[in-house]
Amino acid sequence: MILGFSKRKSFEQAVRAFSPDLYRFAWWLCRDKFVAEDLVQETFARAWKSWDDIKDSAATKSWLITIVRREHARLYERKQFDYVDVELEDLQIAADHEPIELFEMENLLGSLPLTLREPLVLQALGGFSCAEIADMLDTTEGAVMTRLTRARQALRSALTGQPARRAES
Amino acid sequence: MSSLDDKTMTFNCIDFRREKLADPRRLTEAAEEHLIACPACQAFSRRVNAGERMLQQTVAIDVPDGLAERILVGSRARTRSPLKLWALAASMVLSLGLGVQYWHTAPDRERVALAVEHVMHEPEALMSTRLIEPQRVSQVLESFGAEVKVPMTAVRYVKLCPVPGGTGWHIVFDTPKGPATLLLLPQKDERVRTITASHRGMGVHVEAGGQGMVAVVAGDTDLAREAAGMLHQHVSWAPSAALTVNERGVRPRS
Repeated sequence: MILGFSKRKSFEQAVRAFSPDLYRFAWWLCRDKFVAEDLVQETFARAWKSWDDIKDSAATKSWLITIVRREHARLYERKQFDYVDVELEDLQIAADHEPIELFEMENLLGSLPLTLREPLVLQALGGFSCAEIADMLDTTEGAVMTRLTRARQALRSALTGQPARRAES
Repeated sequence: MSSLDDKTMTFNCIDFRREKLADPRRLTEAAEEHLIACPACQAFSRRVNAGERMLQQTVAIDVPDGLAERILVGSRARTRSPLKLWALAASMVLSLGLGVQYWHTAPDRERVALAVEHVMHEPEALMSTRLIEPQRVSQVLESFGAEVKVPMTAVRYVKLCPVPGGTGWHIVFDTPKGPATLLLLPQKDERVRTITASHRGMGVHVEAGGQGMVAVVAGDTDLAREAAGMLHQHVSWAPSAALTVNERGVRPRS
């Protein structure tokens, strides 16, 4: 056997444990189920090559998320996404005065710029702290806090039908 | 702000709301204390929490069935065979054509090759997670001439496939070391030699059985041999090799 049992076993456990959330995260990056599955497949393929290098098993999920992001960036490296932080007032969010149901929330979340959507999905899916997300996104904790605050403000403004404001009253 | 004591003076409603919006589930001690003292922020907190519940429901989109299995199958295939998928796909198309052409003229190695190509041609078969009823599996095996000693309970795929010489059964079953494919292929008048060989990084065990040939395909030759051994615990085949055309009275049922 080429594979050591424990390595294979731990890899299988990680696949079963993390693939659902990785898929969901990938889907929220690309909004395409086929691309999302390809991203997760490729992520684990790459992860397997470096599986022996994992020192901190507690950080496996965040490491895998980092690979998903990298693969997504590679996939669309020629396509320009809205990676630049935008002013909250410039966000194009449908402000529906009707109660927002889940599918509406999905559209709303999908309409957020990636810079806001990505940390929000990470926190909602994985329960990561701002510091952990900052590590994954290779940015500062303060920047993540700002993005998360803006993202939730944007969602709230759509929920309430009020324009988003920088300071909550 | 509902309270003007020292704590709320140093940690006001704006601070609380920024913190709450940044990470609703991780409030600092100062924020928790402010929340207790401030009814307005309590109402705000409830609204944010309600939004969070909706957000969590929204982000938890459905995950495709069998995703983890497909990843694992893919990783096993990559581990055992470094071939790229595009090369596999190209070889499948080519080899299926070649297989049809040489099936009856070239023994042994061609049978091994065709078995592997057939498996590669239907990768989705290895991804199936649905367990097939043992009774149905037994019916299929018996239709090909097997005697079922112990019903196979870990079969995930059964399909009747067009193959050179007619139709054959494509079956995927679990072994302790991963999935293996069992191909039940009709043979006309050739005798089939028992052989275990590798082709394109996969192992194949071929032997005579039932109405023709039984091929077990797995990750390598050892696994194929082990899977064949496992199969023998469940079924036995007629002692003679391939039946002649006239003897072949039972055709696989769809």
